[in-house]
Amino acid sequence: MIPYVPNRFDNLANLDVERINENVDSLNRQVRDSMSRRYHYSEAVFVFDGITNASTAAERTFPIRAPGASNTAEVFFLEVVITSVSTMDWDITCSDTNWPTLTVATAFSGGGTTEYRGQRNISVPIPAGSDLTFTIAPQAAATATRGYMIAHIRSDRGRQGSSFLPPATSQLNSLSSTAGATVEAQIDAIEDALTRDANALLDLRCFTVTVRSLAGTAVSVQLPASNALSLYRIDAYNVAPAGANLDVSATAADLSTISFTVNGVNTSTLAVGGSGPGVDEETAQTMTLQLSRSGAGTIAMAHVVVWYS
Amino acid sequence: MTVPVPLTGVVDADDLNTDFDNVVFRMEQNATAGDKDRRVVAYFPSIATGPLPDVSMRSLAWTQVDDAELISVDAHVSGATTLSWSLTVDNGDTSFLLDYTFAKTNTFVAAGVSRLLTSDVATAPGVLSLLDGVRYRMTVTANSGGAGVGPIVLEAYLQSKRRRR
Repeated sequence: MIPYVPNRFDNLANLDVERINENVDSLNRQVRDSMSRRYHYSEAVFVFDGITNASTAAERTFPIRAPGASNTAEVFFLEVVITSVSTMDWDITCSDTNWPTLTVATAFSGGGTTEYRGQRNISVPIPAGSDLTFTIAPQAAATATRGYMIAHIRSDRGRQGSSFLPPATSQLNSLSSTAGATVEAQIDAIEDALTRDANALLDLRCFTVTVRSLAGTAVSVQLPASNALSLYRIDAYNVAPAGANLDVSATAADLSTISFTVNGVNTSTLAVGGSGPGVDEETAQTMTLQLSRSGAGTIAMAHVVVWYS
Repeated sequence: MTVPVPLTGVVDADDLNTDFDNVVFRMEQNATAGDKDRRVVAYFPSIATGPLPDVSMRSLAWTQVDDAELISVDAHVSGATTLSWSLTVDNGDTSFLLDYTFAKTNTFVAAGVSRLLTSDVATAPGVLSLLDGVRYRMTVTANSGGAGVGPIVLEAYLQSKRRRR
């Protein structure tokens, strides 16, 4: 999209009302077109390598929650990939019962290296304060040699709390006795919409990291940042016995270190904790996200969701 | 917000042009502000070299849901090792879209990150685009380390320029 003005004006010529109207109408359409590009996308990955029918539901559940009550994001497309040595049907269910169960069938293929895929293009909103979950379960005894879900997330910047009204303009006609003020009012209306467009900057995106069997060795993910990233919120989930605690930290050169702990409860519970909403720290330098276990025991599943804008 | 040059009394054509040009300028600013990045992150706890696991165990494939520019594919390691990694179109093609291979091998002497940039591919054009509806795969190969090298994180770093299309 390359913005443009259809007509230019010359002091040596008569002021043509129709040419002014053309400019106003064209700019109105262009701003509306720009404001219609209100969605941004990101991918959240949940890995379930090695889970079996004996794994607890918490170990087989992909959780995610919105970073704030006024933040609008949805999972609009879910992909599932499974390899298994078992001939089995695997069911993926959602905590939002409007989302139909997805079944992926695997068949024995020597070595269990054939990838079986399933996908669903049905949108489900991500709530704030509670989790949207996708849980996978084999219909009988089976092991997923390799498995992951990819939740494709769409965020609508036009619904993040501030007004996002497009411009409303009028046509000029030859009866107007105050041409200057009338023209200015139309341009003002377009400028006001551009201000609303500029203020709607909360393009929420997220990425996730799933670590299984986390014990003595910390896991670090270093994320090269750019000017297009502001850290917004981190949520972490810990599926572990009591005493196996998940420590999460995010550090960067110009970031106040974010650090919190999610205590293990038991292996049937998705214990959750996180940093506050709207942290919105600028991360112009490389950010390091570290997951480690404090206490004793093994964390069956550590899952971290990082929201940024 | 009001126009830069108020239109009072006799409407001056130059003032009119200035006010309309300002709208265009602000639209361009808003479009540029919409360049947003994101990451597709693949975590591997361990990858053996002898024998090397099947590709399904050391890769991640996803379907692009919008057009985006590929910035880099980065590999993060926790210790000294030699890795190769690549980004391919996931339909059996051995070449990447415009017939070049997007891959890198790096020897890490310690924990750290190595970036595979478009500038690392001699025959690649300046901009690599990942297209809506196409499935892509990040794959990593451990070239040394014996029983297991890890953890390893692969990260595809993309940027969307939706508001400038």
